[in-house]
Amino acid sequence: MALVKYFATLREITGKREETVRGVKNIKELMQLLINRYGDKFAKELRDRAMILVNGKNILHIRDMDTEIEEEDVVSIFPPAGGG
Amino acid sequence: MIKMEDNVIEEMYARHFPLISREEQEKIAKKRVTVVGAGALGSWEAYFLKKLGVENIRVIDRDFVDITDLPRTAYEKEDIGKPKVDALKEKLGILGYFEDLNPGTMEILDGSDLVMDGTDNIYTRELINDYCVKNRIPWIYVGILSYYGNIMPIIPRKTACFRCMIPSLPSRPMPTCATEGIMSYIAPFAASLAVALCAKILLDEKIDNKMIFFDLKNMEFNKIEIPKREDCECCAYGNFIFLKKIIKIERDCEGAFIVTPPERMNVNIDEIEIKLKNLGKEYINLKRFIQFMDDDKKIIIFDSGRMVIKGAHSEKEAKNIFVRYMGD
Repeated sequence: MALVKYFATLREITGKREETVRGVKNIKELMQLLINRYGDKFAKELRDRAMILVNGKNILHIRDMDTEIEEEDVVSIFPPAGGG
Repeated sequence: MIKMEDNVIEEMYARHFPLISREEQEKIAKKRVTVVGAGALGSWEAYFLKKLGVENIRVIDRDFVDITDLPRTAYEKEDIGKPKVDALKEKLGILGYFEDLNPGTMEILDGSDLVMDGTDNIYTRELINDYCVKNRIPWIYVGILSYYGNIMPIIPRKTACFRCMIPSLPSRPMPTCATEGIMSYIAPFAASLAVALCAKILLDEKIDNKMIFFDLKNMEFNKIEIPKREDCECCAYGNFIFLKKIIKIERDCEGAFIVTPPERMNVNIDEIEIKLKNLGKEYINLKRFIQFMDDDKKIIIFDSGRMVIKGAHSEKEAKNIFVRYMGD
């Protein structure tokens, strides 16, 4: 059971700040599950710009979408703001 | 240097002195800080830097004050129509550059002790990052949108750099404050946090190398660790690609401007359509490209990121339009 934390606009899309997710092996599966759950708007936020951190570490520094998710892991999804 | 009489300084910064020494106040005064962008973030950053006591503030921007700027910027009604850098110069005595930061104008950042991010797009941030990492100048990334903001110190050789986090330009336009909205209090709040961080860096205080994320809808703060990337093209390998690349602007035989981004962007035309619809513009979506009117200008955006603008009067105007729709 992993804890997924949402930041910025993802909070408005999901209507949540965090939730627990079961039965996913890696980030790819988690993202698929969340896209199915929250639809296109969520997918668009993810594509290109959201940073995904597992236990505070960017998946780009681990195994990207193949990064495994273990029990108790905290996955943070964070789209950096570009406005100014 | 603080140019005022000693007793005036004592009086003026009396509320600082229980917290920092007079020497530290003078150290701040002598530093040169450059603010890139003078919109919502940049105008407040310049304002708070001045209040902090920084004497040598440079601001780069090539835009004019507009009525829609008033709620979220440091400008007032009487500034409408003025170049933003001129309005700030009148208010704060900063050194203003009516310029756009691009690979040809980077020397404006020369000699800075710190660079503050007041920009509204990823491309300019990548430019600042390349320049600052190359020249070992600390800079502070600040980004805001709707109720949210993030602030991150980038100290070359010590912290992760911007490209560790965002390795390449997004292939579609990023959401902007114009399309997603922004509350008036977000920019000054973010600018205040950024200037607080700036003061710590200028005084060589220990800083937390994490990104601060704030959410003023839920009144929540988080700190997120952004690790340095071992294979970062910028800070690990010194490949400063953005300093070399320039948006190409040409004119065709009918006088239309053709703007070509530094690399293919894979623009999602349907998303541009949604934005145009929200802005109430008339358009024709032909899938590989979309054609629309922006005031009296006829614009075509291709899925490669290339843009054709008919009716613009100058290269600068064409580039401004490109930046407005493509985010860089």
